[in-house]
Amino acid sequence: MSAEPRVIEARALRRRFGEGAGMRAALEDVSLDVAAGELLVVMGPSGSGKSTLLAILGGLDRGYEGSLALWGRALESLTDDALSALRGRSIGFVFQSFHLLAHLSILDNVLAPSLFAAAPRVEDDVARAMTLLARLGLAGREHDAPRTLSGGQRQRAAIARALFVKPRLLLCDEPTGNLDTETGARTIALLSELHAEGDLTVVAVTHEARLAQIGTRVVELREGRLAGVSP
Amino acid sequence: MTPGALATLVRRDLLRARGALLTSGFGIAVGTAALVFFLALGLGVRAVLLGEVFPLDRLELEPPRAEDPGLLALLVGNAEPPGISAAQLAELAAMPDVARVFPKLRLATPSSARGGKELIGRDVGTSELVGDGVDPGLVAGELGGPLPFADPLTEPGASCLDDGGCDAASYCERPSGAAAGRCSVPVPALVSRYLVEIFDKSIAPAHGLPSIGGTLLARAEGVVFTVRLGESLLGRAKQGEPRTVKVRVVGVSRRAIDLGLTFPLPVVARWNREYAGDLAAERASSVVVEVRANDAAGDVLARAHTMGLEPKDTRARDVSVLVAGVIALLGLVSAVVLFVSASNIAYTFRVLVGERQSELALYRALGATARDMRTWMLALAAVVGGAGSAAGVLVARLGALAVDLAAARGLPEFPFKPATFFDFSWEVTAAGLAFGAVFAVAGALGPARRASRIEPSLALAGS
Repeated sequence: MSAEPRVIEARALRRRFGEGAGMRAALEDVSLDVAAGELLVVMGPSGSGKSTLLAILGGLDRGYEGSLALWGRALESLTDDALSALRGRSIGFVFQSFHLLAHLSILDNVLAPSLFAAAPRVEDDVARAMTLLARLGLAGREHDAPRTLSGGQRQRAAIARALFVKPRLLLCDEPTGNLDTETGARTIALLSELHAEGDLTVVAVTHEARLAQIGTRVVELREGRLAGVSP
Repeated sequence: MTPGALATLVRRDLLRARGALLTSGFGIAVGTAALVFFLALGLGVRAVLLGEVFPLDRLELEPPRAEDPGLLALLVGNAEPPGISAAQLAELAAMPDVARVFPKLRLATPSSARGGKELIGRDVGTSELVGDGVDPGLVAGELGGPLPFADPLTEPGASCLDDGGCDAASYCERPSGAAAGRCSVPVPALVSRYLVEIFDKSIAPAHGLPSIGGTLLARAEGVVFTVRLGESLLGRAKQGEPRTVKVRVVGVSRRAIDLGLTFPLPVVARWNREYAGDLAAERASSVVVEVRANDAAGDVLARAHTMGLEPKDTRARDVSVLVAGVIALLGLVSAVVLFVSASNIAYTFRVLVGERQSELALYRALGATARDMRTWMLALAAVVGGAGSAAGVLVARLGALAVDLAAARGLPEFPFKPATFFDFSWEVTAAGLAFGAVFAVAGALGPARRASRIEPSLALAGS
């Protein structure tokens, strides 16, 4: 067993919403380890708790029970500032509907994480954002508004934003959910390519079987419980 | 979050939500404009009233008038004579809050004046004269003319028996019963700015007479009256022989008696001794106390009260209280406007935060802290409030300018009509700016707190 801490160590995660008779369990007793460099695909139908799991793993949702550590640091013990810094420096998010800000240009969307960096370097940041956009096939569209881009281009812009901070962990929530088949396939190929380039750890939740094909490991979530692991 | 990043976020919001923020800023501007306008107006009017009409920086104290000595005191003969003793003056001067004391002496003999040709073109008939004697030091800072305000007999002229023994510009100062007198230049006298203002702005226009203020100040040689001492239309003094002296007005002073002539203290002391006895010459009828700081006036008044001395003129205090009350009332109205504006800010920001939950959650997912969210909203409110306040101050200044212009052109002349009715000190401006920004930030506190509590997981829900 490697001495290097795992990227994710989740033990007996449970997440419930509501109170009393209306209480609903979104996650039940989920334990999961993710090693550095893995591309974990979490499969499951709608309502199975995939997004809830992703929110917890990304430190977005702290209302869980159980324990969770990222790179060996227990999230329960982190202050809001520390957890925000961890998200800002080490975790990238890709959302199903891209979540680009309509009032900003594509470039400013990609640069959005730099607003909350401890020591932003404007020129370097802009250069890096431009490089990322070029790399993802969006050269020349930097100053366009998101609404002028196609769905696939928007998702690539969102991926560029997620990669801007050079994350060690990329969390993708249904990254192909709002894309047509062809564009979805290209996005899957892009994620696979990005993962193959370095030691980026990727966790993607999806109900699309094609995404599972690029995963180094696939787990299935049903009614909030891990139901199966492959391979 | 760095200040540069904060500025970027605020700048973007100002562009994005300019309509709503402009409305909020407008409310702050109206409130600030009202506050600054009324505050400056109140302070300006107060400055005119207390600086020109009823000066407050020096307190004039006097013993209670018509004090009844009581039957026992009359029988045993130890009734305290009227006036302020030298011991009381010394006690006042020894108070730590008192810088200087200036005794005053009321002219205690019937007297009348005649003259005025130099001023209004013809002599006015004989009129009763009310006179006061003041320490020349009391008015030293006010008089800039070439003629001194001092007892002319400090440098007495040649011996004389009557005015014929002196040159035309002098008269023979020969006290009652004296074998001979001394030629003396006319006794210097002061008139009050209050009297000059009343005459120039009310009496002169009504009777078609020229104003006297400019004449008095312009005529280097002064205006000469004759004063009859020891006798007036109302009767004669109980002692001494009536005689005529010459008096020259050498200046206008706000320390001078309102209606009458004010002479150097030694002159009045000499005349009082001649016509009313030693006590009338030795015990001051009132005393002007110069306090080291205006806010010490209350303490001085309290201690003087224990000595049996009361302020001679409570108008300053009354006006001060009245103006303070009016300022407070108008300030309250302005505060209500600002409060409503703050409520408007609160509503705008509440809507803004509500509409942007998903966006704010995204920023949280990208690394923003809860404190960043709060700081962002409060900074935005501060900028809106600051800009609104600055606009409000500008509007207040323009409004004041318009009022002053309208007053200068439309209002008839009246006593102490000021060039401006407003006092825009830096404190007033700073208070306006600060109040606007503070109210705006206060209005945004709730929404900012709400923004800081937005769950980052909403970013996923929004996706």
